[in-house]
Amino acid sequence: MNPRFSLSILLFISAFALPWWLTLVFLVWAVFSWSWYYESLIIIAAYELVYRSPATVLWLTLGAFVTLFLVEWLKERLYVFR
Amino acid sequence: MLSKKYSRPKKSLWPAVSFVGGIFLIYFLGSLVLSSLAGPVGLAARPAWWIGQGLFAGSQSLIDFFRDRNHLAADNRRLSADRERLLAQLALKNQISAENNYLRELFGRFETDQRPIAGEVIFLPNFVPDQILTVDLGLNNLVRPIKVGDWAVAAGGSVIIGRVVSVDAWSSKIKLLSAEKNLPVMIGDNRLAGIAVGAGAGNFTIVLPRDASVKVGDSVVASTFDSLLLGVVRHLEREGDEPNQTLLVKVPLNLWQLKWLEIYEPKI
Repeated sequence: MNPRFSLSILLFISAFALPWWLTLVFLVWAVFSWSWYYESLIIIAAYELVYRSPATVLWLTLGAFVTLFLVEWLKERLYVFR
Repeated sequence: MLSKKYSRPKKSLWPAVSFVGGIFLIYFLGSLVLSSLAGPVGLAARPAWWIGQGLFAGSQSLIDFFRDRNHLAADNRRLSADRERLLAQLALKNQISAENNYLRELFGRFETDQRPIAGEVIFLPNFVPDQILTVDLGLNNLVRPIKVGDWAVAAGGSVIIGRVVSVDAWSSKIKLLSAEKNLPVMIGDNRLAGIAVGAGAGNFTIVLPRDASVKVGDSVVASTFDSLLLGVVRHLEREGDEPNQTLLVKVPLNLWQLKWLEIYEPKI
């Protein structure tokens, strides 16, 4: 199976099975390791849909979206990611 | 010699457009569009939640084995004694409860005891910005419907935990009272009035005058929730010459190990 897809499945499980900070560490690692790891948005949106108050803005997903762009912008400028 | 004019490579506008467009979509339409997916996503995530529960229970058993093996027998004796004492207290509480109901009926507060709807907690937040927990009670799996605003109560109907904020087809969301700002409460045997401010995860703070007679262990009941128990005073903070003291109050049960809840209609 595609490693990126497998990783996404594992991260989805960890979002609901593990403490939030551990999932966050894995997500940060994945976003830095893969190019445009947009699956992180799907995982965070799923997490937020289950746990948030109804009819509130998806703040976590919005934050993750901005972070994804920031990380990609940063990766273009850091030598280690070239 | 021909001079070649330098031209900067054209930058694509697509990243900027998708960035702004994405923010716009998530902020304005995300909640609207994705809300309908909350049920199926919850269903898909339930096995992951069970895995987490299994991992937690397994690690807990392992820790308990190494930590407690030397004093299990002593603990067992102590627990047996505690059980006897609590059974006696329960009998007394039931008697007082029956008397209380009789008096309420006499003064026209409400007629009879409600029969609650028991719900199994299927998601507890492990990160709590909204302090929402999900129970397996929905519109399609109940004979008697529950509705937004109903009370979520634990520990045999004595501790108020939160309120129902949404009812879906197969599940409902409950917001903890510790996410609310101002709750009228009564503190201790003297029934001092105060306002509890939710501090998250089943904790509250109450500010009272310094001279108010309160001690650690005093019970705090929620006045607008039929005087159900909200928490117990765990800590008092009195700093220097400040005219006030701050009470730190905690729900008397572990919210993160909650398995069942009871849903009641609000009593007025």
